[in-house]
Amino acid sequence: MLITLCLLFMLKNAHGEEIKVTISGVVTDVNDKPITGVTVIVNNTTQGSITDFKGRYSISCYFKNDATLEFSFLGYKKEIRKYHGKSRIDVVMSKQNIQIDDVVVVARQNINDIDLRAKSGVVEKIDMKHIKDKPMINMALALQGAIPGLVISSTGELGSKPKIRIRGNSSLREGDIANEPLYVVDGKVISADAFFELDPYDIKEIVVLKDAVATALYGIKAANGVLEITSQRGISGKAIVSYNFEMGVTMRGRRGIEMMDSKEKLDLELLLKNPNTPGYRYSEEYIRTVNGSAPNLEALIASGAQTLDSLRNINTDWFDYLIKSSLYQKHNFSIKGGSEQTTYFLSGNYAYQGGRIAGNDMQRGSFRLNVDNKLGKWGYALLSLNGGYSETRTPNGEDYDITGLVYRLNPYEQPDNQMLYSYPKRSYSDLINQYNSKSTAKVVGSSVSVNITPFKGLDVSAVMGLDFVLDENVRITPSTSYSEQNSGIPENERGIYGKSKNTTGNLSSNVRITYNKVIAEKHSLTIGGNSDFYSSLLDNISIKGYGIGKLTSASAINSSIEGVRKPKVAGMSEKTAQLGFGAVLGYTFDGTYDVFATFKGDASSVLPSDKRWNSAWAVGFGWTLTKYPFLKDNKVITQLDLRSSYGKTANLNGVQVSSTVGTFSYSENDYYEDQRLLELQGIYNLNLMPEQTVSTNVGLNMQFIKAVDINLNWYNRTTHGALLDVPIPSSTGFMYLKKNIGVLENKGIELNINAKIFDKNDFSFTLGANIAYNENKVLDLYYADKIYLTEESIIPEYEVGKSYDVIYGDHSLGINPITGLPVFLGADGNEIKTDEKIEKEDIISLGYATPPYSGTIHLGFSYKKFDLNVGFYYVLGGIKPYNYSNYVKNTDDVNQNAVKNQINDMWFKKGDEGKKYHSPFYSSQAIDNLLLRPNTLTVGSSNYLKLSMLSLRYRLSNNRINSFIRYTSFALQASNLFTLSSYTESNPEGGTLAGTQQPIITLNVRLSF
Amino acid sequence: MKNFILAYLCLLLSFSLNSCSLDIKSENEFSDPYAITNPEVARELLASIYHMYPQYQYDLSLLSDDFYSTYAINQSSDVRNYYGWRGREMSLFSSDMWTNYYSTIAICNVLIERIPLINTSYESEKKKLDEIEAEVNILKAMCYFDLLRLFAPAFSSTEDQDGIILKNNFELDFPRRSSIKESVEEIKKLLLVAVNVENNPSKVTWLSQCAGFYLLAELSLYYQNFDDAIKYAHKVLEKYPIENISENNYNNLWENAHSEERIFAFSLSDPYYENIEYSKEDGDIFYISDKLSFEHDDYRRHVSTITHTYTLNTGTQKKVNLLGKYNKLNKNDEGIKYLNRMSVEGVYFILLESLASKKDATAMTLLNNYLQARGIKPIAEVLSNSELINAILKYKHIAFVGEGERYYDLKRTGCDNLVRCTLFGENEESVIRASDYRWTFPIPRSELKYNPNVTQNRGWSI
Repeated sequence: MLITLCLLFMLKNAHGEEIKVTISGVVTDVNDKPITGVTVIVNNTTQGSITDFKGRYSISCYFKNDATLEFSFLGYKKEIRKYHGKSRIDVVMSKQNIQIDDVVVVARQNINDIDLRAKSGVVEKIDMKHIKDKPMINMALALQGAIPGLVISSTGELGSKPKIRIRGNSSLREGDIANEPLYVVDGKVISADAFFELDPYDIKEIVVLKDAVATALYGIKAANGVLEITSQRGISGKAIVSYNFEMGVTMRGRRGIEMMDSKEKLDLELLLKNPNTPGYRYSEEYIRTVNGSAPNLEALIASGAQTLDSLRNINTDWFDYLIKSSLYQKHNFSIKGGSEQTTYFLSGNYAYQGGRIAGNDMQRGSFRLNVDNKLGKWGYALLSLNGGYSETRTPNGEDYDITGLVYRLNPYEQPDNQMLYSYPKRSYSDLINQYNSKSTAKVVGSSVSVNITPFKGLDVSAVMGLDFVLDENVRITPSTSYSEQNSGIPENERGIYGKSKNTTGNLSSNVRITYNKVIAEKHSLTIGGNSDFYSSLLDNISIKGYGIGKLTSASAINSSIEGVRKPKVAGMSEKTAQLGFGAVLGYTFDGTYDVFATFKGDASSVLPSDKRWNSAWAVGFGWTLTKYPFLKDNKVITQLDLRSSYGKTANLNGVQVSSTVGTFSYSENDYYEDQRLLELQGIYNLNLMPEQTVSTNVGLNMQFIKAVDINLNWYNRTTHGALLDVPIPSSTGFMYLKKNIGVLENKGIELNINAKIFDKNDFSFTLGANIAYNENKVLDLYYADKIYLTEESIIPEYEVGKSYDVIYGDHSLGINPITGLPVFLGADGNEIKTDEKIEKEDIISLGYATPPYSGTIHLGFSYKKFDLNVGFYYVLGGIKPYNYSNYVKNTDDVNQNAVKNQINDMWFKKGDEGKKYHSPFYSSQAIDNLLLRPNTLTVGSSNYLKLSMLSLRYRLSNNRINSFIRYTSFALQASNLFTLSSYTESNPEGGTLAGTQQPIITLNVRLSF
Repeated sequence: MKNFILAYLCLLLSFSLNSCSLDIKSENEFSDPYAITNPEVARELLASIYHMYPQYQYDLSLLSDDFYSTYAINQSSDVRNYYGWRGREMSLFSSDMWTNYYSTIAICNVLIERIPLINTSYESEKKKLDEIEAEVNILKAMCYFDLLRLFAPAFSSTEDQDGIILKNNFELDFPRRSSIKESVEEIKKLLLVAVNVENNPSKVTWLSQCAGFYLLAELSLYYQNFDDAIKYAHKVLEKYPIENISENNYNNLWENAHSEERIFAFSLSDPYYENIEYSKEDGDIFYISDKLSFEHDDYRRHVSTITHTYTLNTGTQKKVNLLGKYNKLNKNDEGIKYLNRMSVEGVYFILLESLASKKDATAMTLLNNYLQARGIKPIAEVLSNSELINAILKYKHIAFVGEGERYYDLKRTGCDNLVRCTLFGENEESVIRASDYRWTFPIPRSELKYNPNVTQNRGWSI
């Protein structure tokens, strides 16, 4: 309504004597990249427009023939174009350097962003407009597939931390601490938690640094790559107010495995003859066995049949009942503007996403203020302040998963107060409201950076940042929950309350000096150095108490309880610091050859002083072939350059001081007599060394006819002294010791293609595709050829010459039709029966646990004012085990629901051929143990293709800069709409039903005032 | 060139801005060399060794002839199989014992290695440190001694057989098993060093000099050096005379109270011995074997037994004696403060058995003295030497029922007919002979798989 009124208002103001024309075009920089937010003004009036995300503008208004268009944008030279009757005017803008006595000052938000590193290293930019087009509350998950080699996967329900890796793992150690990339906002190092709180609308750009040259400036912290985030800044000129609004629904998502309906389930129960199931208990067969001589036998049978009939008529679809659709909404408000001297950007964001189960949701609010100030003739000062709040609620606990009920509750059971067969002695209400947890995060951060150029060629920059995250988590098991009621706990001790508060403070400072000198116009020499300091403070306090009853507050804890339910308090506080010094050297000859070398030494307070200093160094070469005369103005190959880099980085991420030297701490709850207990934290390895990762990267950039960009990279990362917790004789008093055990190789290829297939006035079609391949191998083990991680291992987890990401298992020959038991193929070609021992030779590789291929396909269509963007994400080449034991039932557990078609697929009698599941009548520890290991029939390909993003946008352009609304667009946006996969169980990404990403469909409005 | 120099100077300036110390001391953690710096902290580490010391009184009692089982045993096939000496369950238990004892030894070594690095300037501090060193040596010796009795064949077979792994340092190494003889020597050495220190802690929950003598007596009896056993037993009895044995002291021994009979007990903060209970109403999983009964006048039965009546499947009522030790406190929801490890009664039995083994005539008199102290009628008839030893062992069995002591005695004395019974001891299920390989626990896979120098005990293949 408001928009319509504004439109009417504008039409009314149209000029009479001029001709009405529509002028449109694209504004790009010298590298042919679109510039967003360029102000286009007609004739020094107030008529005009602003370029959109693709650099496009469109003005339709009343023109005189000699009208001029003025294009302006902060940091770029102003461009003026005359209107000569042509309706399309494209403009290329070049960066403006403030030239005062030949001194060049550039406002640099990230002081580590040195031009030369991009010429020889792999620095890849994420297209933020694709991220903004994906309606998802979790920005990290929205980055999935954004560039090849940045692999992000969902790990659980809404609100759980996603797994983020750049170019796979170059360490044998699992987990985020050892493998997570480094996050940097405007030059300030932030924690992963602070990264997850960012809103895409506050971000101008995210670049991913992948190879040694790109990351070496950050030193050993960056052993796993870097995500560099640049926030939005202000512009000089009239203030622009923008508002983005998304409103939509989240959907249930993939159902995965189909479960039985009531009829099939009751039939199965009859076959399996468990008297605790209605299908058998009310059957004629059972009634005759138990009450064979009862005088009213016929009546009993009739009544049993009637009960079964009524059960058959109930068909509860628990997926439909438990997995919910919910709401999604997002608001982003920002204002930017400023003078030549000072510019500002202020934003506020709010987002809400409902989860797939009742009680699971997430909301987040944040603000950011960025102020940039020119420091006279010398340079700039940039100031940032940001804050945020987020809240996640979930009813799922560590050992309690509501989503799992989808597979367990029977279709003939209902969400009422009747006792369940699937959970004896419990009703549906005893299954829900058993637990709830709420996590909140409060973030405050600020940073100051200064760029000064005292004389030509010398650039002095410094950044200092401070970040605080306060995480709070409350976990409540009410006294009314089934477990509290039924495990013999006295009434005054029922109800569990746990609360923890975690403060993470990060302080980072970095000073960088770079001096550049151009000699004889051909030789450009750069030298520089930096020192940085990074300190983090972790402060944690937690309490756990019992006897809260139905209350939900810490004050309700019953402090009089002694014994196991005694209230517990724990706390820890840890301060760590890192200090680093670095040097860079760069040389460019004639814009054709680039050489770049960096060295960084870092010391960490975590390590004992003799091991404190570790280094990272790298050299890189860039070769721009299109500078040669024979390629210079080539119409076909418009850009061609090669790059290569080589470097070595120490990696100590995740190594704690307790692994390198004897470290003791006090026990939180135990004591002996009247003494506190000082306990050794673990076995330490005095010879522990950091891992040394040597990485090589060779890359190629090509552009054809200014329309097709191809980017190809090959990399190899070899990790020497790879760390692993290896098993040791238990007579040492410990089971595992962290040791440098061998050499690993992690290599791959990444290909990225972007093509403008068609681009004419009204219609454009772009195609983007990327693929990344990653493989790993153990090259050498220092102490043995093989490492068995557990006492039970038959196959070594690590073996020289083999990948360390393989799932091993048995070659299944299916179910023996005579015995009904699984049989396997031995290495000698003979059949191995269930009770025979499987040897190492009989076990084969089933496939890769982490899919080696992943990538994206992106299509963009534009017609007049419509834009359609479609994005797909795919992974290929991996497998995932099925959890058959969760769905395939035998006599003992048939009281819970079973997988659809189990009756057909299960062996029941001699002669049943081609069955999938073994006999339900035979149970032995031997079979159970056997089935713990996957086999060829119990794993499935985890390949999938996901429609990750769909956006249809309509742009309304506007002509008047001073009219109320300057830019408007509407869109229908969707994320994770569907997933195609042959993996039948839950979702192929996380392997659990809880981890399925929700499809979201929203309506979106973007307005600029 | 001038510019380069200027740039260099700026760089230096920037470096100095960031210089600061990286020696940050953690509030929660203490790392070498700043961790164990004074006797007080050393004692806190020592306390953690006392706290982690493995306790298997209940588990070992199940393998002996202390208990009969009730219906409740059918609730858990693991317990039933273990009670029946099934290899799989025994090897699981063996793995647990091995790792827990060696974890304790590891921390003993951690402390032993750090004691010489602690600077003490006062005599009183030096004394404190000596006491700590003595106690940690006794703890390490206790671990070795338990391991030896569990994982090595009975001493009487041959002393050159494989004993246990001796760990002198806290480090990753792959040692072979020392012989039984070498193991005994090492334990003796540790104890002799310890008893050199005059150590009389104010509480019985810390190992005193006397406790060191106690262990030396126990060890001497194990390797059949009866003279030494007698010598060391007398050392203990000097301080804890037989007169300490009284009804009141016995009651206090099994309550959370001070008792003159108690020489050393572990202090407990966690629940203990609760696995024997099935439920407060329905009794326990095991009860004291019908063959084992306190005599009517023996006042210990009031404390050490709880009478309970089961209704058998046949409909008959069966009155049994549930174990009273620990169990009674648990049933009354009182926490258990002391886990008794050394008592006057214990050292007295070492003395009796050693004297009897030496055919010393005083043994009989001393036994009668003991019986009288417990309110039991003295033995009037004349016993042969082997009858006397059997009588001593029988009375020791009663005295230590439920404390796991019986398993060690059966193994040490070469019991040839240990009967495993069905429910309520109704039928014999099997008989364990002295030659049975299961008397010696298997070396667990966690050692065998990763230590190429270690050998498995006879009969076991895991």
